[in-house]
Amino acid sequence: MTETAVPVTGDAPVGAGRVTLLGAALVGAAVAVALGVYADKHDPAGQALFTLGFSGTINMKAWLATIAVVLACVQLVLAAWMYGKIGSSPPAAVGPVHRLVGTLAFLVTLPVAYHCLWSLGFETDVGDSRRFWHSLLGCVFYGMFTFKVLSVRSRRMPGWTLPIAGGLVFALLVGIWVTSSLWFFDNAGFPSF
Amino acid sequence: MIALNSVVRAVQYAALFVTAAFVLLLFVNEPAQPAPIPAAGADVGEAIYSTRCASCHASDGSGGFGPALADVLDERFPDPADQAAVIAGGRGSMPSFDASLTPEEIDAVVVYTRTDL
Repeated sequence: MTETAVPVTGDAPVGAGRVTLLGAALVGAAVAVALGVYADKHDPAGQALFTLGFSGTINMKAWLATIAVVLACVQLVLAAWMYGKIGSSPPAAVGPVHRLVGTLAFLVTLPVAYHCLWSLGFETDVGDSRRFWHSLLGCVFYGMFTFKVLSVRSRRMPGWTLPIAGGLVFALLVGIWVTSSLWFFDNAGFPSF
Repeated sequence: MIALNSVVRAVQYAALFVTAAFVLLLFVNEPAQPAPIPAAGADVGEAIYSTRCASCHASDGSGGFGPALADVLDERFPDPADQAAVIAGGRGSMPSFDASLTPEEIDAVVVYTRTDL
């Protein structure tokens, strides 16, 4: 795998790029649907998990999600740097650091998602809008994340795919954070360790 | 630069491994059996709340995934029977407890949440 600081724009034939794009989108959609189906059909355990030193599982989740959003903001800045939107031409290390920060952001979301899926399940009551949207955004986030990872790995995608996918992943993560951590801090108080 | 790329690759492989572990755990991790409920006494409601309700509503009833309960139940459910019905039947993502708790145990947790939270 060649490592570059500046993203490579796909120059594959349009048809091949579209097929690859469609394939990645289908895989991402499958991930999102699979998570939603599991969360809906699985009997929620309704139990707490480890707390990593926080006073409760919910507190831990609120803070891990916050850390993920902060890392995602760093990643957004690094991406803008790579695409020449800010600052001078980026050093070669920006690309690897961007990938490292993104991977770490993804890692810290895993315990949060695990507790949501295993212990709480999918909120299907649209009337309970916060939890409904949180459930929906959570599933779509991992689907879009999958699509983005596949986009990074493929050089046949249209050049606009990666920034669009990255922006959507960031927007979805912020949406998840607003409907969970922000709500929690607003209700339980900040910092609520 | 090569060292940085190696670190990134190692972290990415670790993330892949951890993701696989989490997916596996979703299917094989059996919920722990909740602590047994005392046969009778004033602590029945508290015991039920701490083992069946607190993971969503927080141990002090301040809310979490589920809504806050402390100091709002009298307003939300003027009739305690309505609160008991929600516990028994569930609502939204809240599971029903009619199969795992007796009517007396549901009444005990209703009393606890309305008086001691």
